[in-house]
Amino acid sequence: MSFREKSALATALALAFVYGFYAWRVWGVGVPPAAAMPGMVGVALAQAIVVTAAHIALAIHRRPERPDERDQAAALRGQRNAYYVLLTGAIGVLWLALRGMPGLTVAHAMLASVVLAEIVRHASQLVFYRWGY
Amino acid sequence: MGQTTIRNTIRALRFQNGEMTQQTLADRVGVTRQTIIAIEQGRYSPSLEAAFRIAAVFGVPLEAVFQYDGGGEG
Repeated sequence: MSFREKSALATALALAFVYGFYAWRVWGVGVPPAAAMPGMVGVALAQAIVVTAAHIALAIHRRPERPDERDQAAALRGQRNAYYVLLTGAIGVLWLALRGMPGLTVAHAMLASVVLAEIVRHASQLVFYRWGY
Repeated sequence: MGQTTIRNTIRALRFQNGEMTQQTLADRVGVTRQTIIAIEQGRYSPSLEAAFRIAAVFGVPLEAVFQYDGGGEG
């Protein structure tokens, strides 16, 4: 597995784990809305720290190679698939806003769209690297 | 698996050329070893430029390296 495959896997897992934990706190435990908003900032920071630490560990384990045409193709494939998810999410967020849903719900829907799109982006890259699709 | 319709003889050509390693071929073509592995296994179709570079490394014409399986179309 190349550095970029491991990077995509680590990022997708970090996103799923960190934002999954946040979703569990908000909907599972029922953290009040006032506490949820600062939590969003915290979770974004936590995700950035986890991903950075994972990349440092990967780079120490195996020196990253310069990206070639296949890496660029994988990145483009990921971005294309993520775009569909983000576009669908944006329409959903707009629909929620027009229905007069609370600001926190709209913000959470927006966050979920971005996180899902990012997970799809990295998962698509992995699938392309592993199986060529 | 996402097999392409382009077959190749890279593995055979590597062995005919002094058992050239995938890493050596990758370095000479200017791609990663993972990309050479993916091309050999038919999981990735290289760009035209990379295909020509691979053929040039072995000193053979392009069609000696890559063959198209969808010949009945068009």
